[in-house]
Amino acid sequence: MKATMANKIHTAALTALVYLLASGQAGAACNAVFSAATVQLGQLSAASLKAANVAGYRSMGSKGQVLNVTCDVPQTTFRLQFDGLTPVAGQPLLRWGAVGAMQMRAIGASAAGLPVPMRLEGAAASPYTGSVLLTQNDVLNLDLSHVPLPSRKSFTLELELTGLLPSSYVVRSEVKFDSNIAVQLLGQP
Amino acid sequence: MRATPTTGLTINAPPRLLTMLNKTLIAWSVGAALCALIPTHAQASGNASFVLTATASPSTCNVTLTDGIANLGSLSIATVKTYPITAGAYTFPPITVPINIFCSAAANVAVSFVDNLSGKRLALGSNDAVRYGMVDGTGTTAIGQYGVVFTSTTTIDSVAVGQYLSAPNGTTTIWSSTSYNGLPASMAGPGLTIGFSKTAAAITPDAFTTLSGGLIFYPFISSAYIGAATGAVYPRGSGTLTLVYL
Repeated sequence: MKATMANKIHTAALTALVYLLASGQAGAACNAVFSAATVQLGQLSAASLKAANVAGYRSMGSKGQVLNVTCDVPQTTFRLQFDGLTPVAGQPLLRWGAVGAMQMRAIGASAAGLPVPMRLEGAAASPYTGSVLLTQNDVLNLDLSHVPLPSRKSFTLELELTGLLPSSYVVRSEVKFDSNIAVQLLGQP
Repeated sequence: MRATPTTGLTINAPPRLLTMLNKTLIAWSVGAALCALIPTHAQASGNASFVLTATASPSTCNVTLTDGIANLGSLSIATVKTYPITAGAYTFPPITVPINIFCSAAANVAVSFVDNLSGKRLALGSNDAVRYGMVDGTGTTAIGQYGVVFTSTTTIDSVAVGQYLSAPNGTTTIWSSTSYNGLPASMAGPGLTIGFSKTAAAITPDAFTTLSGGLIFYPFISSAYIGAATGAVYPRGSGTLTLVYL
């Protein structure tokens, strides 16, 4: 009887271990989704564009975008990298279509619903802060030090996107601006 | 056989069970260690993308030239022969045609002029370059020319145009206050783009929402042609005016 009980406990323990291992494998995956597949700044009249806060550019407007990430298991770190971005030489901007530029700023991040600061890694490394300007294919790192480990399964990143048109560019006919912005979740460095 | 619990927990159980529990504790311990390691080794995979788009277009501007016709009317040859002759041509009374431009928003626009009968301009004198060709009723014989000039009362956004500026069609980066032969840029010669500024001595055109004014047509018809006419004559010219977004 005792042996049977012990066997049951053993079996339960092994089952739990197997479950943990299995869930551990599955937990390696996170699901990242942007709140909008397309951010449309609209159909704009070039003549009505106002000067931007970046010298030499007219603003085509700003819109927000939110990246929501959910993971199956808690994450010790949360890092992500933007891909396909081309910097504009000499300006804290990114190319947008053939003639435009855009400013992309991370203006807020949260982990498990708690606001967290963020910073850039690599050449553009910065201290943790509440707002980060992305100027290339930067790696962004969230500060999770105040978020309990078991809770680190959901993350959000708020972006502010501003379209810019060079002041010197003459719009003689309809011009389309179009850029694909991709983000990839990274593991530990 | 007794084993020391690795967790420090007090285990109150028979030796055999404890042995099994000890294995269990070890297993749990391993499991717990794995549990802690899983997130560390897990590479948070996933990716997402979105598209940032916009469309920019020039302001919508429309130009209207009332009726699009500068009609000389029906005149008798005798009347025409009373007109003054300059450089071998009768100088007809000018005809003013209202011109209006309206834009949906302030826009930096100019107007280009093209002579549709550029090869049919009868040579009359030094100001030929600023004038347009004119043909007879057959449409083939050059019989004169005409000039086009903006009226002095033309306004942009209700302010009198203080400076007309010209540039060759297709080259609107260098502006001149003069047309051909040093004539004022308000002389809308063929092949020129005319811009408008509220400020005298301005060197670049202003943006505006509305232009209101007129184009004055000055016809000149060969005195030799009029003199040889034995019946009705039908002088005709043709030009194209196009809005240019600067």
